[in-house]
Amino acid sequence: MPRTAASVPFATRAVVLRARPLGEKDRILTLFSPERGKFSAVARGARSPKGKLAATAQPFVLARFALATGRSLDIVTQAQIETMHPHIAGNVLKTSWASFASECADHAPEGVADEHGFAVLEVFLDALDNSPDFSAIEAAGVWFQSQWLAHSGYAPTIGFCVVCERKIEADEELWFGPLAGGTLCRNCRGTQNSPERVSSDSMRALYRLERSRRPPASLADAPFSLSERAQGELARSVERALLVHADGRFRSLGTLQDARAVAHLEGNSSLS
Amino acid sequence: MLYPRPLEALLYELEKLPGVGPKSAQRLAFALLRRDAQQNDDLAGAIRDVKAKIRPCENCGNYTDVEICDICASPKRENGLLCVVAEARDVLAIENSNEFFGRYHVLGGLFNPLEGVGPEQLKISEMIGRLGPEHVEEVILALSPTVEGETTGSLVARALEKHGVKVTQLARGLPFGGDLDYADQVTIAGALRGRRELG
Ligand SMILES: [Zn+2]
Ligand SMILES: [Zn+2]
Repeated sequence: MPRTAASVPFATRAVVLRARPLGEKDRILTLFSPERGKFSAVARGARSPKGKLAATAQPFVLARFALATGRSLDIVTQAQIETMHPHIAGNVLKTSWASFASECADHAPEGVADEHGFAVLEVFLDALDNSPDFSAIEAAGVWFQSQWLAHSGYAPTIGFCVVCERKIEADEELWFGPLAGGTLCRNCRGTQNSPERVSSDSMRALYRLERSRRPPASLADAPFSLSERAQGELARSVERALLVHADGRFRSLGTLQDARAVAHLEGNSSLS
Repeated sequence: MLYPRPLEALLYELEKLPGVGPKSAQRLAFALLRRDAQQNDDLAGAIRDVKAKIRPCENCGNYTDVEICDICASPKRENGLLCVVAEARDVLAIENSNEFFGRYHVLGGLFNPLEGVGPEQLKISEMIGRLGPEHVEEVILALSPTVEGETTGSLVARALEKHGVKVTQLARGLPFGGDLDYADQVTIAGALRGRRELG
């Protein structure tokens, strides 16, 4: 590539959110980095098996990138892979979760620094990569969703009624309203669209997940010790809250829901 | 600089083609202008025909101009050996390697949630439907060694689990990240020869 006076080289760690074919030999990458947030860059020759950037220009790769500012798009000049997250590729459920997380990050505005968003994504992909079974994958996924919800500024109110702001006592019935953004008391539940009756266990878990720096190994074990039913409430509440604020625009959601349902039926994801 | 409108329209259409930038579009357009009208009519006819007459084979999804493609119809092809590929263009890449004499099955894409391609969008049940009638004993997964290709591979392998066929995968002569149709013939031939059973 000819070096022009205008080209300002820069280096950053970044996760590859997407890698789409560009022309005959190249890929266009959507990257997510702490310093730049989401941005696009061209990986020249990455579609060719002999291309130096072929292995880097794959979704969910975490690498250190050297880039040059091109005329219209940034261009990857060098890349050093930190991890490919090798156990995600080849696993339908993990790939579906990683795709969903990528899509969340892809909704971020272009070029806005996002250290916290990057940290959440990095921890999630690492946990997903190392998840040994279905329950670990689910725990990581629900952790990511609750973290991303809070990161996007929609951390749900838990323990107080979002409408009347009254503290909900431990022995009281409670509901979750995704649009209202938190728990609802018996009196106020009627003011909201489709609130779900939930247990205090699942809501406590949501509160705790949002404040954990890493996903738990399982939601069934301590400290969460959630019943199957409470896990379902938690998973639905987080997902519905996330969807409300994203206007439901997740292309990968259908595939993720199918993959989760299949894995749930099998009791375990077949980890190949 | 402004071109006369018909020339502008031609350049606009040419530049939409893969690998054709403004420079090559200009070269092609001026070459077309210099040729006789008959030659250009033949070219236009061929372009029209390809879209009107080429369709996916009803058995395997390969490109054909009849109901069942030549490969599916040929008695010379080995029964029992099925090579699963993502796109019809991959059939050509493997045919060029001169290493494979069974039949193909085109999935019609690769598992890619971000593009809305899940298991339902791929022709997996059609593949299962061919196992019995065609006495398939071995299914070779010839998919790109990419995240999408590997995940598609395990999806297909899982669907084949209960059917008692041997499932093999191209050898790792192909480096991770490259697309299958860009691998050269020698590499594909080597990868086919060295294929391994999926464990
Ligand atoms: Zn209330
Ligand atoms: Zn055919």
